[in-house]
Formats: sequence, C-alpha cells, structure tokens
Amino acid sequence: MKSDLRIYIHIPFCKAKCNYCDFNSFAGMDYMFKPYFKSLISEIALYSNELRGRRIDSIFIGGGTPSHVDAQYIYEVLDCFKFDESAEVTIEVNPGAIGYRNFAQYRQMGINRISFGIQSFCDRILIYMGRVHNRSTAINNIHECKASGFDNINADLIFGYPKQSFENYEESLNVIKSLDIPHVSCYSLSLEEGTLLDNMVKKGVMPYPDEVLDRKMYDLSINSLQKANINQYEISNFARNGYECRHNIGYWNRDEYLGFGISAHSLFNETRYSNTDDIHHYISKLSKYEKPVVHCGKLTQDEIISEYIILKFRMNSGVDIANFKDEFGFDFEIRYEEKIEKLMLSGLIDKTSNTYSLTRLGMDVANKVFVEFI
Amino acid sequence: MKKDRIRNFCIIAHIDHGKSTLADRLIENTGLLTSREMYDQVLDNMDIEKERGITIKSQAVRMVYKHKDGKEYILNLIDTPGHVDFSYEVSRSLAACDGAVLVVDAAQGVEAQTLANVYMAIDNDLEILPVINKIDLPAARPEYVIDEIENLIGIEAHHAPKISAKNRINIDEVLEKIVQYLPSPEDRSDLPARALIFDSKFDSYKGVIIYCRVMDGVIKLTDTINLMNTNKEYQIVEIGYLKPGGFIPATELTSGEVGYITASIKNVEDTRVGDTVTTVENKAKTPLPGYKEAVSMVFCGIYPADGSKYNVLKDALMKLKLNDAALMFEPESSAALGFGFRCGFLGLLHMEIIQERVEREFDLDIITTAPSVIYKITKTNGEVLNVDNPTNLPPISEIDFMEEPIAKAVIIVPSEYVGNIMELCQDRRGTFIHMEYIDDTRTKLDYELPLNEIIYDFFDALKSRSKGYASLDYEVLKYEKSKLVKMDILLNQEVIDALSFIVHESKAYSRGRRMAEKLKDQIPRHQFEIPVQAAIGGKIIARETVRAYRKDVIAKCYGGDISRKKKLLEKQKEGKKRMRQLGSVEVPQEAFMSVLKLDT
Repeated sequence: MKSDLRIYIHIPFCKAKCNYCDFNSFAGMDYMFKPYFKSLISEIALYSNELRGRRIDSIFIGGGTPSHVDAQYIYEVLDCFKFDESAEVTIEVNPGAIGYRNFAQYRQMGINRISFGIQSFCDRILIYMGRVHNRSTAINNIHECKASGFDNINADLIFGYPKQSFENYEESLNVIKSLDIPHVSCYSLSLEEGTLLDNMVKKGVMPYPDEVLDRKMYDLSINSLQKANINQYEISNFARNGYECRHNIGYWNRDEYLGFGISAHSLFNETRYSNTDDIHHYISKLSKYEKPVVHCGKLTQDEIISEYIILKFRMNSGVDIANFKDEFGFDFEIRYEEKIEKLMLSGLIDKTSNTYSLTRLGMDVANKVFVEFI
Repeated sequence: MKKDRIRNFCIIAHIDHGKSTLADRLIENTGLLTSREMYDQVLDNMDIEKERGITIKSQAVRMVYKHKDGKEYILNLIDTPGHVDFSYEVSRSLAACDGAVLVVDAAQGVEAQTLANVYMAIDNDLEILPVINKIDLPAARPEYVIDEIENLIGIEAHHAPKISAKNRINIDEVLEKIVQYLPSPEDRSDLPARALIFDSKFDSYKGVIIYCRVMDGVIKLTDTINLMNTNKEYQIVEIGYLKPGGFIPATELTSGEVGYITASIKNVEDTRVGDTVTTVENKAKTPLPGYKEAVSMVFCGIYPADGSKYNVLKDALMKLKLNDAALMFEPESSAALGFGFRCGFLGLLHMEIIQERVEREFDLDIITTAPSVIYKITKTNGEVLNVDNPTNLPPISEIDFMEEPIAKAVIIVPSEYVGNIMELCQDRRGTFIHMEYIDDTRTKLDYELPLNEIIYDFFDALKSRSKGYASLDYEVLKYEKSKLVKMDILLNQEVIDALSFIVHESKAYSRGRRMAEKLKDQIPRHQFEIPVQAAIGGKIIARETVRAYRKDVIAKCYGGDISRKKKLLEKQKEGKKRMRQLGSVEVPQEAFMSVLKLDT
C-alpha cells in the first residue's frame, strides 16, 4: 500500500518584486500566464504514472504570488488532480494582489487554507520591504477571507528587517492575535546576495540587520504567540493545536511529494528532482512533452539519514529515538554519541524522554547542529 | 675516450632566461631524443618544476655531438638549479664542470642571479661561453646585452651565439662553440680515484644513485667505493653514463667523465652532494675541496591539519628527504597544533616547494607556522642558545642579548624604481652598502638586510614596488646584535604558541597591530566575542575583537529548498574542516601564515 502523496505547484508571477526576495519570481510578465499554465498542465500529465493510485493528502500552491493570476488558471491546474475535502489545499496570496471574489472562487475549487504574505502591519516597513500593499489592505483582505468561510489561515511575518523596531514588530504580532489567525510563520530576515536590500545595505542606504534585536524579536514571537495558544512547532512556524501545516510537516518528515512548475522540486522514490529555473526553457521542454527536470539525484542511505536528522531537528518534536531505529535499524544515540555529547554540552540540543530537540539557543544557531550531521 | 673529446659544462641563467629550453634543444639537436619524444623541459622532471618553470634538482645528461671537424664529442650537461636557495647545489654542480654556458635574455639583460651564478662559475675557474637567447623577441637588443655582459661581468661576449631556444634558431652554433670555446678535462687517470658527487637520489629498485664527475683516476665496476666524508664503503653494483630519463651501463668511469654509480646504498644521507667518492682499490689520501653540510636558513613548523595524520606526515617528510638531503626535520609539539615537525630549509623557495610537495604528492592537508630564522641568544648566565622557534625563546629576564642573521643582498632594479626599493630596504632595517649604475636604465643595489626581514614577504614587496622588475640575490653574511622581541598572540585571552613570532623592537607595535587586524578578519565569528590581542612580554600592545554572531540558522526550509540548503550546509562544513580548534576558538589554517602577509 503506497503512502499518501503531496503536491506542490509553483506560480512564479508577482505584481512587483520585493526588495528582500531572491525567489524565482517575475514581475511584469503577465503575458506569460497563458503559455506557462499550458505547460504546467502538460507537465502534470507527464506524471500520470507517479500519480496513479496515490491518495493526495495536501496540495500547496506557492509562488511568486499565486493570487496574482486569474483564479481560472488555478482552477484548471487543480482540476488535474483527484483529491477530496480531507486533503489540505493551500494557496499563497498577497494582500493587494487579490480581490474579494477570489476567496469564494478558491473555496469553490476545493482550496481550504489561505496563506497570507503579510510580512508586517507597519506601512513604513512595508515600504522598506517594497511590498505592494499597506496595513489596511491586509486587514481588509483577512476579513474578506474569513467572511468567505476560511478559518485555516496563515500569516507570514518577517522580523529583523533593517529599521524595524521591536515595538513595531510587537504590534504586528498583536494584530495577528487580534484577528484570530491560527497559524503564523515568523521568518528571521536573511540577507540574500544579489537582492535589492542586500545592495542597499552594502551601499549604506539601509543599516545592517541587528542580530541582537533579531533574537529579541524571535523570543517575542515565541512568547507572545504562546500566550494566544499559538505554539511553536518548527523553527519559524507557530500554530494553534490542529492548525499545523500538514504540507510543510510532510517536507520535514520526508514524505514523498511532486512539484510542478519552474524551480519546483520533488522527492520521489528517494530521489530528489529539480526543474529548470528558466521559464522559456520550461515552456519549450514541455512543448515537446519532455519533463523539465534539470537535476535528479538518487539519495544514498547516508544522505537519507542526514536529511532525516536535519529536518526532524527543525521541528520542536525533534528526533525520536524509537522512530529513528524503526527507520534505519540502528541506534541514534550510539551512532552519534560523540556529536550528541558535544551538542548537549554546548547547550544546542536537549533530551526529553525519548527525543532530542533543539534548545532555544540551538534554534538561534541551528546550522551548527545541522552541520554536524551533514 | 680521449679527454679532448669531452666537454663537461653547465648552463647558468637567471630564472626565465631560457636555461631549460636551451638544454632541451641541445638534447634534441644531438639526436638523443627525436623531437617527437621530447616533451618540454626534459630535465625538469618534477611536476612542480615544470609548473613553476624552475629547476630544483640537479640533473645530468650525456650527449654525443658530431662536430663539423668530423669528430664525435661527448658533451656532458649538468643542469643546475637556478634559485639562490640551492646555491650550494649549484656550486657543487659547477665544481663538476670545466665550462659554463651563460644564457642571458636578449630583452632583459643581466639580472641579480645571473651575476651570482657567474661569480660562482668564475670562483670554480670555469670558462664561460655567453649565449644571447630570445633574439626573436620584439624587445630584444642583443648587441646592447653583449656590451652589458662585457662591461658588467667583464667577460668577452662578442662571439656569443645569438639564438632563440624556443624557436630553434642557431642551436647548432651553441654546440659548435661549446666544443670550440669550452675546455676539455685534463687527463688525470693515473692518479688515485676521486669523484665529486653533484647529486644523488633514491630509487626504490637500485637504492641510492650517485651522480658524479670523476676528477682523478678510474672507477671500475668491480671496485668498492669509499665515501670519504662518512668513510662508508660499498661494493659497486652498476656504473655508467647518463641519458635523459635513463642510464647506459658501462664497465668504468675515468677521469673527466660524468656518470652514475649504484651500490645498494640505502640512505641518501650517506651520499651527500659535495662529498668525494674514492675506491678502496686505489684510495685517495684527501677528499676534493669544498664539501659543506647543507645549512638550514629558514625554519617553520609543519603540522597535519588532521591530528591523526601525524604518521602520514612523518612518512611524507622521510620520503622527501630521501631525495633532498638538505631538508631537515625533527618532531616538535605545539600546545595549539599538537604534534608536528620543525623543519629546516635552505631558503623560502625551498620551504614553499616542500610544503607544496607534501600537500600534493601525499595528499595531506598541512598547517605551516610562520617561518623563522636562527637567532643566537646569549643568556645572562653566559649560555648561548640557537633558537629557531619563537616558543623556545627564554624569558626576557634571562636574556643578555640576541643576535640575528644578516644577509648580503644584491638587488638589480630599473633605475626609475631605485627610490622605491631603497625605501623598502630602509623600512626593512637594511644597511645601504653600495649603488652602481649598470647602464643608463638599471641600477645594482648592495644592502645588508636582516634575514628575518627577507623571509617576511620581502620578495612580494620587492616585486610590487618595481612592477615586477627587481631581482634579488642574497646570502647570509654574519650575525649581528639586535633588539628583538617576541610577539605573542592571544585569542580569547589564551596565548597561541603557533602564532608567536620574533620581531625587531622598532617594528613591534605596527606589526602587532596589523597582525591583530589581520586575524580579526580571518577568524570567523563565533557564538561569543573573541578578543584578539598582541602582547610583548605580557604587555598588551594591540587589541581587536571578533564580534559574536547571534544567529546562524536557515529560517526557511521547504520542499524546493532542501537541496539548496544542504549545499549551504555542506559549504559550511567544508569551511569547518579547514579550521583548527584552539581552545575555544576555531582558526582557519591560513591564519598561521598571516604574519607573512602584513604588508599586503
């Protein structure tokens, strides 16, 4: 009996590129919608074998800004898959790039989870970020969303942004709480090479992110959300009981998933696949009915173990000793005795009954832990 | 073989003037190898020699040349290393010759090493045949260079062949003139046997192979040889002549001839360059003059990056020593770096070459500490110490005075840069001795410079201040009293012994400050703040701080990112591998050499 499958669909279009963004997304390329979605549907068709007989437990439509394209396109893509209401179906939307009617349309086509790219409720910071929306649009959109019957809602926030004060981040968290949103992703800003923000920082137009403040904001995220019963379950993710994102947990549990669209990745049969990053290449490949995969690598057992440990450590539930032994047939504590001892001593990981997980300090410097197992 | 049909010669030249290329052409033209068999620079065997375009080890080859007078001549070419570090080997190679071909670049003219090598040849009573190379270069000015040779060196040069070794122009004229101008060896076959070892190397089948020039008498296959310096005796197994990449066995070598001897010798140290081979059957009373022990001038610590590879490193050094008797090493340990070796080298280039060979030929990651020279320390109780490792310096209170080696340096530089170079020498505590205008464009500077200053990136500084045109030659002249201090470096309040260095008092502050700045940039941020301090005798003279990092976390990691993030972590892990844990601080390997790069 084959396990459940997860589906990711990448929509690379945006109204405008944000200053901090290094994702593969395009602004001002709306004329590509039609050929892109045509290719997307062809691509899905090429995977009929992989999809056959598999129940789909979650679908995630991410971007870019999926809400930037007409809902009809989204409908056509979702229509390629068989799934029922028990599946978690998420779409990412950006305030200011979504209309009131869209939410109802999404519901109709089976989408049951909305993920908002809020980032901040402070208009000044939103301008620094290069976002197209403002505070009131965002709040209105969230009300509209709820009015359309969605209760499984996520809001993305960014903290540690240059010129963002502690108070102003705290206020954004408070708005989230007051809007009764059950899932929040709080991302510590990472300054990516080549982004506009990176350039501005290097040129001195914007100050360097303040790491000490960043960590205070991280503490605040954990504590403030906890008071509203929104509990941390992964380094950057917080949810009310039962609202954790199944799709993302699937990634961290190494469930199989198929990704469609440019830059999409898949994990299937212990092989990782990546699609081309080039939209023209993507379209031309699919016009010839060829898969747009540019890289695939069968994982070795060592790589699987390493991924397993790293991804499990991302979650508060951590590495379960019994589960590890079930999966791999040997003892986690014996195999990694030295590393575990070192990491415990430096206070980066901790043991509670049968699991190892990151400590609060370990979450600040999680890469130090991951590197030990790579 | 009649002695008048033999010519034993070497080729001397400044680096890049075309010595090895000319050697190749001579071999090619005498038909030893067809040009198809030739690959560039036959005599430079080691990869590292080919890559750097330098000759490290002496080599010899025997060519048969048919002269236009109809007679056949045996030309023994003894290829010598071109670099100053190997000047002892050069001098021994020269002693095995009767003449020398001096190659001078038609565009560059005479350089510092040209002079050094020519003087050495003259000291060995060699007849010198100048050859002007690279005449086909657009900037070539052969007549001018001929004048330069006559004026500066004082040897006749109007008959010098004007050639291009690279493009095979006038190679035959060189062969002709070797026969015509260079002398044949004297016939001394009736004397007791004496042969000069000019090189030796280890072969895993034959044992040590001795390369020698028979000066007096005859050595027969059936003889037992005696190595006069060590007084060790060995029954000869094989004797004969040399060809490129091989041997021609024979029954004897007679005076004037160049060849090889094997005798199941296990230890290359028993056959040191410069020693004299005689035979038990016809034993000489005194050895040939001029044997010297190779003297190490520059020292540094070599440690395996991975402490568990100590034995691999030991093995590597032992193997290298088999063919390089000038390499010295003994075990040492450092609080910071664990177990390793203190190694002595002839000079900086020798040091670099050994480091590179260890890493390359034995696939070992090593950490080398900053180079040091030998300081003579006179303690207050009258005891005199030779210290080649700053860690071994006694406490200041026990030191009466210190002496450091002073080198005589000859620098030839285009006149427009003389100001820059004099400023550099001044800055490096040089004493000006003499200045001479070679011609209207170039100047020769004589300085006395502390060796300690030369080993700290002096070459780089020299090149960068003369657009690469200055050339340098140096030899150690004497020891002089000097006000030296030991600089300690503290990371997170701990003295790191492997980072200590000895420096002149007058430069201590600026070097200490720059060292701290340099290390601050090289040491990655840790979870805690790291003070980087430079101290003299416990007094802190400079401090920098490596700021702590507060986060190191991939905040976002979803399906598409996993492969990408894994690469990021792998990179981080690679970086970590090149780190050395010193107490609580991780230090990259490069940091141990940073004292060498304070000026750049």
